[in-house]
Amino acid sequence: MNRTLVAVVVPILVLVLWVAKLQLGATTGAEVTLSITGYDPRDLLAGHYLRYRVSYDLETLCAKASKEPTCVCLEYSSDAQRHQATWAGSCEELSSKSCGPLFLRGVCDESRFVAGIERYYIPEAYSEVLATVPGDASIRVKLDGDGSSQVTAMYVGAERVEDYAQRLLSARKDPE
Amino acid sequence: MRIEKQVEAWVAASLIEPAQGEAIVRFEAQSPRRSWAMYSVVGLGVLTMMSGVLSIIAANWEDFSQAGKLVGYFLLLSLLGGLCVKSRPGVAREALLLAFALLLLCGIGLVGALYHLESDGWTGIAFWLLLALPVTLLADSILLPNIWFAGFYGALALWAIGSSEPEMDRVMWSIAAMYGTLIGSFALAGSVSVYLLRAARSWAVLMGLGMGGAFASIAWQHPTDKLHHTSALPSVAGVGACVLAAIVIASQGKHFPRGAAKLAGLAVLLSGLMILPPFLVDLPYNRPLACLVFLLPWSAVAAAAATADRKRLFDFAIFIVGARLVGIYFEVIGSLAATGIGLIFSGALILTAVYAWHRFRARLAAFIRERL
Repeated sequence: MNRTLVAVVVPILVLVLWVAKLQLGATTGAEVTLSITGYDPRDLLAGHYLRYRVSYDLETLCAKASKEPTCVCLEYSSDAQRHQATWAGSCEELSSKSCGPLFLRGVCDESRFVAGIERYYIPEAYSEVLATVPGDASIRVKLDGDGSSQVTAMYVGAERVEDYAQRLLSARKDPE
Repeated sequence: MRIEKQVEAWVAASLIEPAQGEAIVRFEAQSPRRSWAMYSVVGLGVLTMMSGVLSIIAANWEDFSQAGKLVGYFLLLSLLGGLCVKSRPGVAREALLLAFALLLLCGIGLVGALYHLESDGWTGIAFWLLLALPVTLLADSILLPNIWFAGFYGALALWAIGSSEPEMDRVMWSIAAMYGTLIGSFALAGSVSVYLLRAARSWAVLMGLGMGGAFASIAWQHPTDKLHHTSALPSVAGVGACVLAAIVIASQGKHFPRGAAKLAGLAVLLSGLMILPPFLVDLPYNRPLACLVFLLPWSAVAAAAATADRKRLFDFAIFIVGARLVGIYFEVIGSLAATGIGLIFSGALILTAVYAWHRFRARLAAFIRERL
């Protein structure tokens, strides 16, 4: 078989499979809503993104700074209208807790729990109105039941962040 | 010297007949010549274009839907891939292979942005290295292999540095990987692209003697206890890889002219003596020793280059040795009040050294060859 054909097709197939896996993760699994706070640096490889802290509302989370794998159980709070952490600890203890599929797997980086969901890419055009994460912001995250998670959307209140930024941009251009 | 001038000189010296000279010139004119300048400029053009594509991806235009961006990307990638398959050997094919490889990198960035993936920097580049390796193996010029190894050492550096501060075990594994690529570049000779192997050696030398030398100069002269916290296994890997690389290269008699292989192996061993100790032991402050461990590998490189008749490498290595020696002089007199007189004297010394180097380098190279 033509070596160039193989050398070209294989990486394309790998990328297609990777996208398919990510798309499957974004469309299946349990969805949770988490509050966030943060700031905005730039990733040179991929563009503008908002970097934020997820507010789990659990004081014992990452109280001991260690890079051991940590799991966090989530439960919906009707008061906050968001999901919040009810338990955090070693993932080996998870089976004894009644978390169900709503749990996140991550590590404690000093006092911060990091689960790979702390970044949201925004169009460059919105960066001037989204220099920092707005108040009352939240993210929608899909959980695959094995602790892996994927951010699917960001909201400011009940409005998608893209719509929120577009509204602010329009207001700047046309103050009236 | 162009071939026509060389032939003229040979004919004038009665080494060949004029008719033979004309036949040689005609033959050379017909042979396809590879213009390194054209390949470099083409490479620059492709890099510039792909940087533009990456920038557009980074802008993350809100006018296109996620599906639209992905479909557009895969169509472009497939088109480039198809052109690569249809292309014939030459500059255009090398440009297409390079563009295809770089577009793979752009795709990783695009997918990361669309799905909001977390990145520590090196994993994205490492993924690209795997995806781009097949086309890199097909490259018929040094262009794409050089880019691939730039990515390889970039990923290695990002991994070694870690998230907040350098992790010494990772630094030692990276050093082992550097010597490992040197081993592989000789062990795999004949099995993979000669350009990939050439790039592997060039980058290993650049990283080892260049970056490693610069770092080692600082570490030896300003010892700190922050460095020598390497675990046993990575330490053994680093030292072992260095020694093995030296042995492999020293045994490559068929790839090097007589004596040069052993000298090149010695240069590799001495480079390890320069780079590894700061990570293994608590170094005492000893400036003469620091200068010595820097000068030794470069002197071995100069000796190997002289034996292998590599004039440019010899000149470069001798320049590095000379510059370091002059640097030592500046370091010694730097604290004296009468630096003005010292600088004038130093300048005269530099000019004398340059004159001597220019006048006697051929004799020095021949002397080294004779001794070996």
